[in-house]
Order: sequence, then structure tokens, then C-alpha cells
Amino acid sequence: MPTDVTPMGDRAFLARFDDEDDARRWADAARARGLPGVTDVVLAYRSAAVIADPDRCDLDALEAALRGLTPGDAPAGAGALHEIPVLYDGPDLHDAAGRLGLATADLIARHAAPEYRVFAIGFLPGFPYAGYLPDALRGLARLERPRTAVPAGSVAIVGRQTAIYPVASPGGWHLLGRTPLRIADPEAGRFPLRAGDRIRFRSIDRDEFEARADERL
Amino acid sequence: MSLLVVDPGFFTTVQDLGRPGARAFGVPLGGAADREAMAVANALAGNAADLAGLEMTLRGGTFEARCDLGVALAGAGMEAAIVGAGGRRAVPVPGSATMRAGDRLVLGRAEDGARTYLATPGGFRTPAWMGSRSSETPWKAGDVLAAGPSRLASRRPADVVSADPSDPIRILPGPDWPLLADPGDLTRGPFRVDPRSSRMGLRLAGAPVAVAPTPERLSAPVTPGAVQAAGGTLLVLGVACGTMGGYPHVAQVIAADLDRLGRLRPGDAAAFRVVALDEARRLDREAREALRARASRIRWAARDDVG
Repeated sequence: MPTDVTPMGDRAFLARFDDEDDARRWADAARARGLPGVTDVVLAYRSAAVIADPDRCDLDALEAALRGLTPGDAPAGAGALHEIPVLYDGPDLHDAAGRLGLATADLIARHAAPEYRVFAIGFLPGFPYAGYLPDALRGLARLERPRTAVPAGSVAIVGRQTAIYPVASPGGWHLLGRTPLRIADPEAGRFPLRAGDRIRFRSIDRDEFEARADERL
Repeated sequence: MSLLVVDPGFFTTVQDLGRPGARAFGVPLGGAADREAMAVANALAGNAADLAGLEMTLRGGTFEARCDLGVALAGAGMEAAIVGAGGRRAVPVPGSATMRAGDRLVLGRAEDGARTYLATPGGFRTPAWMGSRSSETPWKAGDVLAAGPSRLASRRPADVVSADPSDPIRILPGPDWPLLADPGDLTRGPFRVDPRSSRMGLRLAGAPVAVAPTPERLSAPVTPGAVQAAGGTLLVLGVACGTMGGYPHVAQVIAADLDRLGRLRPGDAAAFRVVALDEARRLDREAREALRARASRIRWAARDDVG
């Protein structure tokens, strides 16, 4: 259950929760209800915004419907699971391992072990904020001098989170490697990763990286 | 079949109504910063409200028609004239006229706002992405925008008294309103619009706004009009803002006043006044109905003229 549903301006509502899982299930339920006039349901960590077109709905009725939603209304299933192959050859791999007090191979094994949850898509179209990292991998601050150009497909960590850059962009996260997959096609409006999905990284060698270059997720 | 950018002005982009429905993918809404002005320009061109026009910021620039081209202007007052073989003809804002092939449209500085819109019948046919031609990349001299050919009668629609820019911008308490040490910090104002402002957001200079510290705050969804308190400074997010934000979201500009954010210039004063939710909804409904009625009157007149 949301801890609260508050108006976010006069055309949107924000529901907030005590944990990420409740927020995700509530957002799923809100999407599944297909409420009239709703243009966007945006999930981010422990909150979800529902944005409406006032020409197409009664906002009071929408608010009442949202207050009545419970995470249990969500369709069954735990979010799509995506496997992301990664060639762990990033420019920050050794430095990050050193800062964390781990052998490089250990960093790779630990990064590729868990199933992560995508908590939000933002910063860039299709950029997944995922987590949370295992304890041994947590705590790296953002780079003091962010890169002006991080290549598309870069897999990175900061704090307790991990992410994949869908397109080349500036960035301040620690780059561990890169996936050959195109995790989004912004040009075509194709964004296969959604907030609430799960991802798991798998270490691959250079041959597999090259064989799968530019493959779509 | 195009318009050549001779001088792009200060910051000129193509805008429409943006990309609603794509926020879940991290795609900003975008579109015109002053949607009312854009709707009036489109109506003057005989267009539906969602066609793409030019958004000119602070200074208009110079554009050359490569074919006969109807042009319609609305938004901030700006000196505008068509210069060509036929001499020099002033174009009022709001107003419309036809450029002959080879004519230049010469625009001055925005006089009473920040943004002036240029629409043309059928809209500018620049590249679309995810259902919108809205772009954050300004045009450069030498760029060519596909448009026309078309014609528009020389017209000046009846003026409409719009909001007094010095009236406070109306806000609703935001999700993090309770974090404010003193809500009066927001409303005592006024603040001043910092030059480091853009379509992404307005930065406001003024007395500090204190909020309770939230070291572990997780990012949450935001929309244009979100008022954030960032280290004592206020940010008011604009139409091109990202889909989520990390700063305390203390207030939200009401929908009826969002366009006013797009009219503020660096150095302008900005004050806030809190209203009730039902009043905000009523003002939004009235503003939408009034604009729809006004745009359809202007549009039918424009189409009649073309005959």
C-alpha cells in the first residue's frame, strides 16, 4: 500500500512507498488498470507518478481510483528478466577493484552474480538505474572529473547502483566493461528495458563480444 | 520548399507539443515553452495546435523564404518585418503575412517576454522522433527547414489581455512541502530569474529557502513546473526537464501558469502564491477552454482568408 498519494500539481499524482518492491507492484497495477486519461505512469525507486490529460478524464475520479489501488492488483509476474552479456574490459575496472580492495576477477564475479532490479529509467532515454550492488561493491563516489564521452553499451557502477549507457554521453560512473547489445534504440523509439524489470550480467570474451556486436536486446 | 536560416537569433529551435506518454522510458516531454503562444501562432497559420513551429528565444534572427511562404507570429512582442523586392513590410506580433520567394523575415529582440513563435501553414517538416519534431538543438546559420509553399493574408487578431507578468506565479504544495523550514520562504519573494536558465529550468536567485536535510533521498518522478529546493536555491523545472529528480520537490506550478514560466527572462522578478487544488483545476479548465475557443476563431478566420 502506498504510504501516501499526493497531488503533484493539478494534473498528476505521486504515490510513495516504504520500499522499491511495493512501488513497482503499485505502478504495475496502475498501468494494468488502463485508467482513462492517464498518459504516463513513471516508476522511480520508492515512488510512482501518474500523469493525466485533464481533457480526457475526471481528476477527482482518477485520484479516488489511485487511492483504491493496491499492489496486489498487479498482474502476476516479477518483471521481465534480461541477460546482459558484458566484456569486462572497462577503463575503470582495475582502479575500481583496487579502491574496493578486490581482485579484478573477484569484482567481475561479484558484479555478474546477482539479479538486479531496474529501479528507474532516466538521466538519458533508456538509461536503467539498477541495483542494489552487493556490499563488497558499494561505496564508489562519482568520478571527480566526469568523462565527456562514455561509449554506448558501457556497464558502470557508482554508490550502490549499476547501469548501462544506452547511447554515448557524458558520464561520471566507473566503467567496468561494455555489452555488445543495443539496450535501446532511441531513434526508433524502442526501449526494451523498463523500470521494474530485472537484469543479470554475464561475463563474455572478446570473440562473443564481436560476434554479437550491435545485436538488439 | 523551405526557409533558410540566415541568422538563427539567440536560441531558435523547432517545437510542437512534445512527447507525452514517453516519460517511462526517460524521454522528456519537451515541446513549446509557451504553449499558448505556440497555439495562437499555429491558429494564425490555419494549423492544428500540434504542428511544429519555430521557438525564438530573446532575439529572433533572420530567415529567407525559398518559396512563397505564409508566416504567423505570436508570443513575446518583437519588431518584425518582411524585407524584399517589394520593400519593407512590418509584421505585427501576433499577426501573419506572406513572404515571397527570396524575401527575408527580419526579427528584433523580444520586448515583453522571452519567446516568440513562428508558424507556417502545414508546419515545419523537420525530422520527427517519437511522434514529435521538438528538438533541443538550436539552428545555425545556413540550416534549411522544409516548409511550404503556402500563403497567408496579412492579419492581426484581436489582442487578448494575458496574465500580468508581475502577478505571482501560482503554486500547489509539492510532495516535499513538509520539508520546508518555513513555507513563507517561498511566498515572501520575490526571486530573480538567473541568467543560467534554459528550457530545462529556471534558476531563481533570492533569499535562501531552507529545507530539512535529506541525505538518503531517492530520485523521484518530476514534471515541468516542479519547484525544487537545491542547496538553498530554487529551481523551477521547464518543459525540457528530465523525467526524475533528486532535489526536494517542495512545490508545483499550477498547469494554468506553466506557460508563464516560458515567458520569464533573465533578470525578471518572480513571486509565488499558494492556491488550493480545486482552484488550480478550475483555472486550468478555464484556460484550456478559453484557448481552444480563441484558437478556433483565429484558425477559421485564417482559413477563410485563404479561401
